[in-house]
Amino acid sequence: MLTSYQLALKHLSFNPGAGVTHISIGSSLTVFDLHHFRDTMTSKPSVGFSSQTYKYISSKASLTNTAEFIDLNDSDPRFYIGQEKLQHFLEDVTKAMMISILDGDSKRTTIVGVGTSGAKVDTFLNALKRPAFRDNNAKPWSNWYTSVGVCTPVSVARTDNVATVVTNPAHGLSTSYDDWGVIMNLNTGIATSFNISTSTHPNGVPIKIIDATTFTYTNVGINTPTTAVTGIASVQVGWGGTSINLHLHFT
Amino acid sequence: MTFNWPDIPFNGTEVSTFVDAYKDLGDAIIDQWDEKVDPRELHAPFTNKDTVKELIQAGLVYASFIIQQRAGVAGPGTDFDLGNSPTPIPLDLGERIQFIQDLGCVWDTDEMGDSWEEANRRFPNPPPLNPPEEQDLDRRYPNDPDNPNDNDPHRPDKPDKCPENPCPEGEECINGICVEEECPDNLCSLTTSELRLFAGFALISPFVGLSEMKADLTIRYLTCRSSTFTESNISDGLKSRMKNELTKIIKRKIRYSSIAGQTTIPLTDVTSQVPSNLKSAIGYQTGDKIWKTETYTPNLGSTYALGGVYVIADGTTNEAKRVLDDFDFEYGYEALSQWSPINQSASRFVGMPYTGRKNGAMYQSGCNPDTLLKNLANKVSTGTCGVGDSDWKANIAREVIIKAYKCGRGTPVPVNINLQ
Repeated sequence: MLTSYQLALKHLSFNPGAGVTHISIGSSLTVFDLHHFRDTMTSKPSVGFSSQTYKYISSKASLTNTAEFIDLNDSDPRFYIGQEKLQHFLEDVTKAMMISILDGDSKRTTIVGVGTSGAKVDTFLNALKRPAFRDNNAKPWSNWYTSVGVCTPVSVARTDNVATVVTNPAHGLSTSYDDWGVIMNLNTGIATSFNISTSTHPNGVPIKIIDATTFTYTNVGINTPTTAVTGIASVQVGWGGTSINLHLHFT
Repeated sequence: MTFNWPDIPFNGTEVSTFVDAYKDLGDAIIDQWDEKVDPRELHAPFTNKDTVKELIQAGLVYASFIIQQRAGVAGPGTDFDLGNSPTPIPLDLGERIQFIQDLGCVWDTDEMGDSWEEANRRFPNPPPLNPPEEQDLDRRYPNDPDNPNDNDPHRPDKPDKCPENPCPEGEECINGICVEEECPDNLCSLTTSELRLFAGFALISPFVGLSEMKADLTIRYLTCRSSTFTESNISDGLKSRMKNELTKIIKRKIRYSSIAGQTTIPLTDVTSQVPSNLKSAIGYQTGDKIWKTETYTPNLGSTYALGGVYVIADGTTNEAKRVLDDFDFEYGYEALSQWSPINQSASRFVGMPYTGRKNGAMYQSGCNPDTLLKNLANKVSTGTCGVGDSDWKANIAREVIIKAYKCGRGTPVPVNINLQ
C-alpha cells in the first residue's frame, strides 16, 4: 500500500480552516483534531471516485473482464483515490464491522450479538453491497432505518440555514443520547421546505436538542419566521454526535 | 494474509469483548472471502480482499473508541478536551516526517526540497526547483477559477468538484463528485447506460429485423412513448414472417417450446369469452377466432419479441389476421385494464390505447425490484420472484426494465399489428 494511503488510515481527517482542527507552533508542533463519521445517520456506503480514477478502473476492468476494483498498490498516476476518499471507505468498513458484531440494530449497544461467524460475515458483506445485490431482509437494511417514534411539530423557523422546531407535546427525546435524528413531514405551504426527503436521507438528519420541546437541525433555505405547522416528525437514531468524536492530540 | 492489529490505547470490559469479536470477525471475513464474495456485487472500493483487510485493520481503534464511549467509561466528549482523548497517534519516525511535510511545515532548504519532491511524488519526473512557471502553478493550484487547467490529473484527490463544475450528461453530483446517475431527472429520457446499450441498433422504422423491433419497443417503453405500435412500424417482410409463424401456431404446426419448461405452446380459443364491444374495438369480424397464445421461444423468430399475445385469425383457414399485445413487463409496469380470461370485466383489450399503468404482476405478488435484480444476477429463475433465463442479452434488457421501475420509469406500449 502506498505510504500516503497508510497515513490516511491513521484516522487523520485533517481539515484546516473548517473549525475542527487546531494547529499551534511553539516550542513544538501541536495538532488537535476531531474525527467522527462523515455521515452520522446512515449505514450506506460511499460511492464515487474522481472521474479520472473511475475511468481508469473501469477501463482496467473491461480489459481484464473483471469487476471494477481498486488496488492500493497501484502506482499508475491515473489511479489515485486520495486520502479523503480513503477515509470515507474506512468509515464504511468500520460501520459494517460494528453492524455485524453488535446486537440488534447495533445502535447504542455495546453487547456483542450472538450468531455464527458466517452469519456475521454475511452481514458485513451485505452492508457493502451494491443496492441491486443487497438482502433487504437482513442487517443493516432490515432495521437500520426503523423509526423509534414520532413527535408533533407545532411551529418551525429557519435562521442561517438552521431550522428550529417546537413540538407539542414535548418531544420526549432523552439528552442522555446525542444520536437522534428526524424525518420531518409537514403538510402545507412554506412548512414543506422543512421536510426531509427519505430518498436522500433515509434515516433522517441529525438534530440537536435544545430543550424539552425544541430541537434544531441543519436545513438549507430562506430565513423564515416562526410559523405554525401541522405534520409529524419521525424520530430516528444514528451513530451519534459528540459521543463519537475521537479527539486527537499529536505533538 | 494476516492482520497486524493496532494497539488499543484504552481498556474496559466492553471494549475488550468487542475487540476480541472484531478481530474474530476480521479473520472470518478474510478466511471466507474467496468462498463468499462475488466482486460484482460489492461497491468498487470493497472488491479487493487486500484493501478490505487494510480497512478492517485500520477501523479497529475508532470502532473500539465508540464502544468505549457507549459504555460510559469516558462519557460523551467535549471538543478538544484532551483528558478525553484516548490516543496519541502512533506514528513512527518516517510517518511523522511524512505527516509534518504533508501539513506543509518545513524549516530548512533540504527539508523544503524533500517536501516539495515528496508532495509532487506523483509527477513522473519532478522538474528541478527553479522558480515556478505558469505550468507549475497550473499543477499546484487545481480547481482555481483563474486556472485554465483546473482539472488537474495530478491532484485527483481534488477532482472536478461539482456542482461548481456541472456534471456531464447522464451523471449527477453526489458529495462533490460526478457519478453516473441512477435515475434521470427527466423520467422520459434514457440513462447513459441505456444509451450505450441501444447504441448498436439502427432504429430506423420500418423494422426488418426482430432485434431492432425489440429494441425500439423497449426504447418506447422507457421514453414514455405509449402510442400504438402498428404494422406501419415494421417491414412487409417482417410482417409476412410474423403472419406465417402465428398461423403455424394456430394450425398447431409448431408445438414445442424450449422455454420455462413448456412442452407445448399454449393455445386457447377465447372467442366466446370476449365481450362484443371489445371484439368490435379490435377489428373482429364474424367468423373469426380470437386465440390466446405465447411466443416465448426463439423458434418463433419474428414473434419472439412479443411474448404472450392474442391473435385474430380466420375461423376457417386459421390464417392469422391481426396480433395484439401490450409490450409491458410483469417485472416493470403493465397497462391498466387488460382483458383476459381471468379479468373479463376489463373495459379494454390489449393492443388498444390505454390510460394509466400499474405495477407489474411480480410486484403485486410481493416481490421488490432489488430482489428481482439479485435473482437475475444469481440466475434464480424459479419461485415467485424468480426472473431471467439463459439468454444473457434478454437478461440485460430485464435488468434495464427492473432498474427503470425502481426510478418509476416505464410506459407500456400497445402493439396492434394488422397482418393482412
